Amino acid sequence: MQTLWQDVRYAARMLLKNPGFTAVAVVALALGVGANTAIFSVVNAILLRPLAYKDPEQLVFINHNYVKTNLKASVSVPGYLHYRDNAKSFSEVAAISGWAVNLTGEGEPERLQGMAVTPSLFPTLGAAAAQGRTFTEEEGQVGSNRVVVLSHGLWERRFGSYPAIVGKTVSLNGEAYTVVGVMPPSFQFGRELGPAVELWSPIAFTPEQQNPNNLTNEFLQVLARLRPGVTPGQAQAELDTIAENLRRQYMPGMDASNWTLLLTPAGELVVGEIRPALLVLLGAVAFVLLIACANVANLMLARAASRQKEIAVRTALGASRLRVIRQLLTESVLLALVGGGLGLLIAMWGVDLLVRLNEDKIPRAHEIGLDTNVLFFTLGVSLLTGIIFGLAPAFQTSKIELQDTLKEGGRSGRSAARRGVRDALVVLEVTFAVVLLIGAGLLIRSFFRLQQVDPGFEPEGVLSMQMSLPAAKYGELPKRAQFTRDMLERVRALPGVLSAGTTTILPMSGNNSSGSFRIEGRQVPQGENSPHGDRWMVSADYFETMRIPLVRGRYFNAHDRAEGAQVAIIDETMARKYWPDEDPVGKRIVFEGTPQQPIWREVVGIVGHVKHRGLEGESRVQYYVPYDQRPTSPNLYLAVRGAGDPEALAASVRDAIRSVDPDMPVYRVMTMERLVADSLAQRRFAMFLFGVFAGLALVLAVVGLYGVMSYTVTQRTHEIGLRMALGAQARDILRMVVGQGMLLVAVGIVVGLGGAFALTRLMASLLYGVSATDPLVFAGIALLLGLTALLASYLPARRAMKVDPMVALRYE
Amino acid sequence: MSASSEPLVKLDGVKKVFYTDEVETHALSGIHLDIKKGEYVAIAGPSGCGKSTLLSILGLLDTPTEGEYVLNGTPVANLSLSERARIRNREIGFIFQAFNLIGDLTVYENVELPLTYRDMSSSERRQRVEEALLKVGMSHRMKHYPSQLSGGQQQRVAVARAVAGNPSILLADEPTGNLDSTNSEAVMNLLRELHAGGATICMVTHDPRYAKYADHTFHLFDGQVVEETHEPKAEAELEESGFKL
Repeated sequence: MQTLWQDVRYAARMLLKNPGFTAVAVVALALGVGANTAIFSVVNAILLRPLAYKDPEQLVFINHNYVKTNLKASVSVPGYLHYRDNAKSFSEVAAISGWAVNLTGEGEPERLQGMAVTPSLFPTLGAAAAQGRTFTEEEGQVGSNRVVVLSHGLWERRFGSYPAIVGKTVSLNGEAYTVVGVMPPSFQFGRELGPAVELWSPIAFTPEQQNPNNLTNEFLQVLARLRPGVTPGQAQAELDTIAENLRRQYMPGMDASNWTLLLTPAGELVVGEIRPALLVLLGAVAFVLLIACANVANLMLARAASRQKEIAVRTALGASRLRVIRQLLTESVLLALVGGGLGLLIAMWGVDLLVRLNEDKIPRAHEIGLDTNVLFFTLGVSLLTGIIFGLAPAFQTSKIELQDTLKEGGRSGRSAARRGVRDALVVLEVTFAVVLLIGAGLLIRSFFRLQQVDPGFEPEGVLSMQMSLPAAKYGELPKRAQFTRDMLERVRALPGVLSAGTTTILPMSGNNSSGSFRIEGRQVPQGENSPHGDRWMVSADYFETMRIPLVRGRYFNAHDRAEGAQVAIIDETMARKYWPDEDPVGKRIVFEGTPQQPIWREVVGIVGHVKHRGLEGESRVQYYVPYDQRPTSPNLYLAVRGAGDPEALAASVRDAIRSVDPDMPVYRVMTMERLVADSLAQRRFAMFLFGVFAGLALVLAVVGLYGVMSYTVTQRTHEIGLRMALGAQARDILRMVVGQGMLLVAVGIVVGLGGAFALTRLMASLLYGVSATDPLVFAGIALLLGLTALLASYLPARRAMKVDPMVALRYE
Repeated sequence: MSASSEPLVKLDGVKKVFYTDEVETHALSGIHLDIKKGEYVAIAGPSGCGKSTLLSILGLLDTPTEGEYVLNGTPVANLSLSERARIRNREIGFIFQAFNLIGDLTVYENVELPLTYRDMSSSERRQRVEEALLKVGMSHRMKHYPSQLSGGQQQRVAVARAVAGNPSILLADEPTGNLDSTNSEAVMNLLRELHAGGATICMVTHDPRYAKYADHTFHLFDGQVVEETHEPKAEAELEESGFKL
C-alpha cells in the first residue's frame, strides 16, 4: 500500500513535470469520458432507471390494435370496463384521458395540462397523496366528479404552498372543483411522456359512453398493474382470449388481424422510438473513447522513448517487469482519473445543455442528470480507460534492452516494435473515425432528405396557437361556432394578416383525431375493417391559410354552415384509395348519426395530402369537415398567415381573441416552421450528437496521425539528413513522409469502410431516404478523411524537407 | 580488510555470443573467474574487449550463452526475469559511469528506490537511506534533485544508492568515466573505504591508475582473460596512500 502511494506520488510528479503532454492527454480523455458520461446519463434516465412507481415492472398499457391498418389505438369506455371486470391478470386497471383546463379566479387565467382519470389510477400506480387524499370510487360517478388533486408543483407555484388548500374550491373551465389532495413532489405521472401534468380529476362515464356498441369509440389510455407472479406474456394471452370473445360478439367475421388487444410494458411505451437512437449513440461514444485511448496510448509510447533510461535504472535496481508495469499503469490510471474528473464536468455541462434543448422532445428528460449510477459509470470508465490505454505502452516500455539503455547514448532495439504499435494505433483511430463519420454522414443526409419532404402545406409565414373553449361557457355547440366565426373575423381584420383559419387538430402538433367512415353504396367486405382516416374539423379559410393545395372541387366557404348541406373535403390519398377510377367529388360518406339516420356528407373537394404525423410519419387518408357543421371539439388551433414575420402578430392576435372573450387563455403560440422543426427534434437530437462525436473522432484521429508523423520525423532526422546528403530531393522526402502517413490512413480507411458496411445496418431504423450503405456517404467520408489526413502528414513532412543534412548528421 | 577464501562469485566457462542477422559476435569466450567475499576486483582491458558484457552478466542484466554462474552459492545463469530482478535487488549494488540517477526523484528518493522494491517498512528504509547518505557525505543534499548536484556529488549519491540495500557485491562500471580527476579520486577513495568496511567490489575500468586500487585485476582481450594480477593491499599501504580507516 505504501509503495502504491509512492507510485501515485511519483506519477503525479511526472504528470506535472510534463504539462504539455498531460494537458493534451487529459483533454482527449476528458472529451471521451465526458461524451460517454453524458450519453450514459441519458441512457440511465431513459432506458435503465425504472419508472418512479411501486413495482414499475408490473405496470402495463393496454391498447386496441388494428393490425391490418397498422393502427395502435386507444381504448373505448366499454372496452376499459370489460377488461377491468374480466381480466384476471391485473390487480388494478385505470383509464386516463387528456384534460386541458383553463384555471381562472384569482390571478391571470392560466392554461393547465391535466388528466381526467379513473379513481383507480392512484392505486394502480401505488401512489398516495402528500396532503388530503386521492379519489374515492364514488367520485368516479357523473355528478360527483367535481374534485381535483393538485401536483406539488402547481400547489407551490400557483397557490404559494397554501397549507389549507385541501377543501378549497378552484375554478376550472368556469366550474368549481374542490381540491381533495396534493401529490408529493416525486409524483410526476404523465411527465414521462410529455409536458408536466399539474392536476388530476376523476373521469365519469355516461351510460351512452358505456354502451358496448361503442367498443371502438377509442379515446382512453388504459394502464394496468399485473398481479404478482403474472408475466406480461400470460396477461397478453388472456387479453387475446378476451379480444376473441369480443370480436365474436361485436365484430362478426373479423379476426385478430383486424382487431385485437395489445399489452405494452409501461417502461417500453415511455422509451418509445428513442431506444435505437440511444443505443447507437452509446456505441458512437464508446468509439470516441477508444479513439481517445488510442491517442493517449500513442502519446505515452512516444514519451516512453524518453523514459527508457529511467525504466532501465529501475529494472537494474531490482524492479521486476510487473513492478515497472504497475508503476506505468499507476500513471495512466491517474491520468485517466484526472481526465475522467474533467470529463464529468464536461458531462454536467453537456447534460444540462441537452436537457434544456430537448426538454419536451425526449421522454423522461426531466429525470436526466448525474446520479450515483452515473458517477460509478464515470469512475469505472476512467479506470478501465486508464488500463486500456496504459497497458500497451506499459508492456512496451517495460521491455527494455538493459545494457544498451544504461550506457549513455544507448539506443533501444525496441524502437521498431514501438513504431509498429504506434502505427497500429493510428490505423485503429482512423478505422473508428471512418465508422463514426459515415454514421454521422448517413444521419445528416437523412435529415436533409427529410427537410426536403413536402409537408403538404406552407409553414412559412404562419403563426399557430391553441385554445380550449370552456364547457361552462361554450357547452352549446352553436356558441362554439359563433365564437370561432367572431374570432376569425377580428383576426382577419388585423393589419398584416393575410388570412386566418381554425382546425381541431394542427399538423405535427402531436395531437391526432381519427375515425372510421362508410362510403355510400359500398358494403364493408366480411372480415374487413371499415375505412379509417384522420378526421379534422376546420374553418372555411383554413386551407388557404395553410396553403394546402386544392386538387379538385372547392374549399369550404361561409355557406357551409350547420343548417346547410353537410359536406366534406378529402385528401388525394383518400381519393386515390377509394375512388381510383372515378371522381369522388359529389360522392357521399358518413361517420356520424345513427344507423337509422346517418348524416351523409357530400365530398365537395379534394386537397393535397398533409404530413400530419411529421415529415417521416406514415400516411393515413385524411378528410375534413366544416367546424361550423360539427363543433363538437372544444379544442381549437388558430392558424394565421401574415405578410411579414408571423411572430410579430402574436400580441395583436391575442388581443383580438380577448376582445371576443377576455377569459380565453391562449397557449402554445408558435410558428408553423417551429412546429415542423420540432417534429424532427429526436432526429435532430441524434444527428447533432452523432455529428459532434464524429467531429471529435475526426479531430482526435487527425491529431493522433499528426503526432505520430511528427514523432517519426524527429526520430528519423538523422536518416533524413543522410538521405539528403546522398542526394535526395525535398520532394523525395515529402513523398517518403506523406507516403508513410497515407499508407496508415489508407489501411484505416479500408478497414473502417468494412466496419461501417457491417455496423451502419444497425442504424437503419434511424435513416430516411438513404441506404445504410449509401455509396455517396461512404466515398465522401473516405475522401474527407483522406484529405484531412494528407494535411496532417504534410505538416511534419514540410519540417522533414527543411532538415539540414549537416545538422542532422551531427545530431546523431 | 582482506578477502575471505569463500567464493562469492564463480564464473565457469562463460560465453556470450551476439547474433546479428547471420553474423555471430563472440563477446566472451569462456571466462573462468572467482571473486571472493570482501575482495576488490578490477576488470581491465581495451575498448570492445568484453568488459561491460562481463559486468552485465555478473550484474544479472544479461545471461550467458553458455557456462555457469554461481552467486553467493546459488546458480543464477538461467533464472527467470523476475527471479533475476529479485536477486539484483538484494545481492547487487550498481554504480554506473553515467550515474543513472532518476532526474524526477530527489536524492533521498533515488537512494530509497531499490529499497522500495523490497518488503521493507518506511522507517527501516529511512534509516538505511540516511546511513548510506551519511556514509558518502551527502546527507545535507537529501532533498535536492540530481540536476542540482555536481557530477562528483551525483556519483556519490549513486554509490549511496548502491550500498543502501547492503548488497553482497558492488559492481562499478567505469565509475570515474564522467568525472574530473579530483572527483575521480574522491569516488575511488569512497570505494576503498567501502571495501575496507567489508564490501566486495568488482570494478570495470580502462584506467590503470584506478585498477591498481584493486586486490585482483583481470585483464580481458577479445573476450578472454589474458592476464590476472593479484595484489592484495595491506592496511599500511592503504594508509600510506592517504586512506583513513
